[in-house]
Amino acid sequence: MSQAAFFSVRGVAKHFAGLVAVDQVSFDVRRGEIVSIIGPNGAGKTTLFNLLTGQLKPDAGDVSLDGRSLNSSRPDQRARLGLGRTFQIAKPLIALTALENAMVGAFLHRPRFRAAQEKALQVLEEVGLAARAHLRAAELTLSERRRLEVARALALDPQIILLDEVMAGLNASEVGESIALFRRLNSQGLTFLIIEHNLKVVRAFSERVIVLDHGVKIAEGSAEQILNTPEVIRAYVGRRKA
Amino acid sequence: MDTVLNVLVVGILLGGIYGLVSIGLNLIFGVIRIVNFAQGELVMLGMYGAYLAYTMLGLDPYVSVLVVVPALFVIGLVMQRLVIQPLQNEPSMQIFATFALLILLQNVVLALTRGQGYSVPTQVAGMGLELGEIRIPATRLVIFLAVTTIAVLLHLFLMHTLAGKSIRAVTQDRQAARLMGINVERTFTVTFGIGAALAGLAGVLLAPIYTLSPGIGGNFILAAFAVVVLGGLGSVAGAYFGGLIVGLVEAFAGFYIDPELKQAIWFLIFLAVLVVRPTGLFGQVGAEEVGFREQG
Amino acid sequence: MRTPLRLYALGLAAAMVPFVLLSHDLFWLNILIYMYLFAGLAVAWNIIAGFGGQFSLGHGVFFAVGAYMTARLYLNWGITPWLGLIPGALVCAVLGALIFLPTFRLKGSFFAIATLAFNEVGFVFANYLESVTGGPRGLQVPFRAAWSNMIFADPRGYALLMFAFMAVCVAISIALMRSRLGYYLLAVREDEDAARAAGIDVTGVKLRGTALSAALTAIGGGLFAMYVRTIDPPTLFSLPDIGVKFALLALIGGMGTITGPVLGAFLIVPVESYLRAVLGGEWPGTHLIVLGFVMLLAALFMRHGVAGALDSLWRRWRRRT
Repeated sequence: MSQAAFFSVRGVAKHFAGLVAVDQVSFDVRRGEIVSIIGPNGAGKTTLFNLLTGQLKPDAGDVSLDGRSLNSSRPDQRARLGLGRTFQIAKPLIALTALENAMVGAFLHRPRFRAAQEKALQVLEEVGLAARAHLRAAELTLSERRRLEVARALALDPQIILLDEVMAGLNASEVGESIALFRRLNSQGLTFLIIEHNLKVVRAFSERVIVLDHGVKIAEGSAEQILNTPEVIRAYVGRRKA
Repeated sequence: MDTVLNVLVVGILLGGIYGLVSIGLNLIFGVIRIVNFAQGELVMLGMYGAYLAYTMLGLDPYVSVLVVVPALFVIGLVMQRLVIQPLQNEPSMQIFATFALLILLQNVVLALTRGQGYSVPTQVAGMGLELGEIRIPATRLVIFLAVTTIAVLLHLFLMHTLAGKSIRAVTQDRQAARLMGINVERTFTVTFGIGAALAGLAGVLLAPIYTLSPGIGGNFILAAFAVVVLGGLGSVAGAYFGGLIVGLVEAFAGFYIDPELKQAIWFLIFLAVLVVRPTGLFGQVGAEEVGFREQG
Repeated sequence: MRTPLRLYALGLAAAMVPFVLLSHDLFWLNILIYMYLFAGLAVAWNIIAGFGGQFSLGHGVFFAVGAYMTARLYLNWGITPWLGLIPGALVCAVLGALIFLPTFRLKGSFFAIATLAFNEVGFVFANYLESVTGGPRGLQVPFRAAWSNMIFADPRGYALLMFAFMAVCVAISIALMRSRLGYYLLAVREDEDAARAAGIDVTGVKLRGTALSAALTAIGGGLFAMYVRTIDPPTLFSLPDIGVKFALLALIGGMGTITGPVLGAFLIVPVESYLRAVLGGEWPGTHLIVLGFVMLLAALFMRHGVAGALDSLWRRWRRRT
């Protein structure tokens, strides 16, 4: 039975004044899959994310979610259609409390205050921030702010969530907690597309890995395969001058 | 044809005035990104400074420039350090504070002068240039020449001196400038001082033309903002040509459409430019997108 | 957002106290009338500026349109201002959305200046369109006291009217902060990109906030017209007295809070009026010098306004107990 990809990216490209940031990248994500995007700094990963979420307009390409084309949709429309995302540098709504942050997300599908508040408390519980619900975002630690980002995205009831280096700066136990959380969410049906630098996380958490270098997809496969491919290693480490 | 020429000349000279008043504001607004409500008051202080220099020292305004301008530079430094700088992280409060300064300065002068209007005579008062049918008063010509000279000098300063380059760096990207070792706070202070000095200069040169009153700053402040936005943030050429454009528009609108509407006309144009090309004619793209929060 | 409603009810009752105490004195009564009116106007401004982060200096336009429309409808067609307030509000809701829409892409200071320009353009047109606004001389509403005319022989009626206006504005503010639109305004203020990622139509939210804020401001303008009964461009479009005043009151009281704008009005309006009465005669402008000083000190030492200062005191107290 042919199955249109749940999240389909076809030939997405973007250049900035002559510099090609993303060059005809295509891949699919199946429903419930966990896919990582890795690549050296400047490979175009975050740019790709911004293209997928609609924050940047691509020069070419198609993106679709669950059969529905996202091409002409604004970022907020894509969020409404089920695309959640976090930012590489966490963007909590600083003056608001953690609960209020989560409620901003929750209000999307729950216009009533009570319902939004309940959902917000629920997602805060999920990410382990329930005890900090009434603290201002400004008073949260980095790891807590990351989790708040995730909570706010979860409150949207997303179908697929795009996480941008959500583990950066976390210590080992925090990383472990996060992976456990994501596994839990994944088992409930959430699809993951993550950008990750930490290759241990990639190995531990991903089903499939896509490698980007200089805006080009240079490899795709299981974590095992990818992390042993010479091209990938070269992209990260650089060519050895023989 | 003569009348068109006449309007043209009036417009250019008026543009010189607007340019002169705006060039200081352009620097301040471009670098520090605050709505300095008190800028018009700085011009006013320059005018009264010229008056003081005349009554107490017998100086012709074109000479008292040498006294008044440095004084305004210092006033600007003080204002920046005491009021503007501490409120760097609260841009709304900064605006509020400059408005407080406006009220203070205006009313201190009002109280001291008891609301009496003053005028400042000058040696060149009666003189003028005759171009055919058109008479160009020397006082206005001086302003036009002054603004042109200042624009050129300021441009050279910004382009070729280290201080000028720091200012340009801070205008473009505050964070990056900081990372490159530029003392942003000091740049702000110096910039504000220069901006105030330029306002003072404008005030002195305008003193022979206008009757002094404490509220005269209000005449210029909005026009100045319009010029700054029209011309583009941080661009000296922008302030210069923006001033000319505003002056010309006002002159022609006043002549061809309705003198009563002329202020509205150039505000509408200013708004149109803001909407269509927010960077202004000469500014850097994206400069206007720095919101309150991203500054600092 | 976290304060229980009964505290607000208490606050409203407390706001009545000055009226109860001073309403017999015509001098203070007049001040109270302005105080309540401007408290409401500051709260209305705060909706889009404090909550939504759009620092508008052009609200004077809405105030003026509301004033002119209410007065005109009454003068020309005898429409009772109680109803006549509504068209002004609706027109301004639309007008606000229209004129702010193109300027929303501007941020911070640019937006502020653009809105300032609106005020100036409004002033020029108000002077020019004599048939509509009465030109530079403005409009006069003759004194014909009657409830239906919203003209009261006993000025205490006006005080109650303005108090009601303030109460309505505050109530709307409270409701907003327990609603989706309110939260969305805050999100837009804090971080537009994060807001979009959370599914918020940023421009739509700004427009809705503006419409609400403009409509309320227009109503305030209408009330003003029926109180002073003489409206002209220099009065309505005066930046220090009207357009920028809303911002000043909200700032000094605490922008972005529900009670802040009220506190600001309750502080500044009486102080300014009192100073004007006491100092105004001698040396012209002295009362404004004092006011300017007060404002400057407030800006430097109460960065988050009175509400912010009270809030940090409260926090410090709670931490100690």
